[in-house]
Amino acid sequence: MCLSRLHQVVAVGDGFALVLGTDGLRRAVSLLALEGAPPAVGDWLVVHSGYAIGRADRAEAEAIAAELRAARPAE
Amino acid sequence: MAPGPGPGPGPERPVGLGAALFARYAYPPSALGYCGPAGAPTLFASAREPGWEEDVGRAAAGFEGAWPYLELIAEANGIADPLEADVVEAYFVGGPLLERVPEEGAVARLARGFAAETAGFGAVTGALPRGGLLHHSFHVLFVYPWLRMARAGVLEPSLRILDRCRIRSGTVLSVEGESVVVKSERLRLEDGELAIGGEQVEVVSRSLDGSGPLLELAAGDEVSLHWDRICDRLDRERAGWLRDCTSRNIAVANAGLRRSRVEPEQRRSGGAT
Repeated sequence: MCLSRLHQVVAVGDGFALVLGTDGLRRAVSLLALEGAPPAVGDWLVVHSGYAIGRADRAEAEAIAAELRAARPAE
Repeated sequence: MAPGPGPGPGPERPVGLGAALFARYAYPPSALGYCGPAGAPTLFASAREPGWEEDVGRAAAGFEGAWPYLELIAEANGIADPLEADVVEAYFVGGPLLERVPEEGAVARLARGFAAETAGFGAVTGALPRGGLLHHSFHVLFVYPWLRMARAGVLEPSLRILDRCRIRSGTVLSVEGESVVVKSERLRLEDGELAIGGEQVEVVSRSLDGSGPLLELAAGDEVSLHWDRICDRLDRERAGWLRDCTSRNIAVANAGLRRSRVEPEQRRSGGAT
């Protein structure tokens, strides 16, 4: 019932990253399932069930995040 | 998926049962921060204030990975409310309502919905298989990235997440306060194919946030589990539905796994047909 989501890296720790979702919430995610070098602050990750599973192109991710924020009803 | 005989009128079920079931099944991943709108876990675990069902209904529609299934199941069975108890139970547990969801169009509709919600990063467009039942296990096996990752060799955490995310059944061994010891069977990858088997004993919770009402349970009861919580007590019929729907979708997944092993072989030998 969960879906993969875009998150932007806010901080990087040992084996995990603190990320900000397009829903405005911060989460800690595991980097165990992410291939390659650890991400850097500002990078965009695809996150599922608490794990970063892939990387996203920054320009494309920022455009998508802006679209999602604009589509979300104001609270 | 040929339409089955239909669910029939069935016994009268209490008003608000669908909302209560949705809350119990959706709470575990929602409380872990994996899905659903902010505030949903608190709402789901809250006492039944007047209007609680309507609030849960609004929150449920915000679960973009679950609501499209409920809509499809309700629509195919001529049920107006996607949060009706039989619909919610069909999605999470299984049952005859699923047999009436026409495969044609349904899978494409899900793929379109998910692609929009995940903005192209869900890797689901056009990749959903034929022959499965639109049950929760369909989402876990085919929409989640973890089976693809397990196949690519990332066994940990892939298999653990697939096992915890799926709705699985267990037998209560003992109950102490909100903690319950249950015996269940885990999902494994064996000779390149998924299988359920291999007993595990785990300690799970029978409450949502630790303060709400506790499910009445006794040793020997059959229960449904999602992540580390008990969602409901299952009678023999419902336990059978859960087992059958999960097995059917695993069979579809295994057919895909076999194809993915054979196709590279055929390409290597130049014998693709």
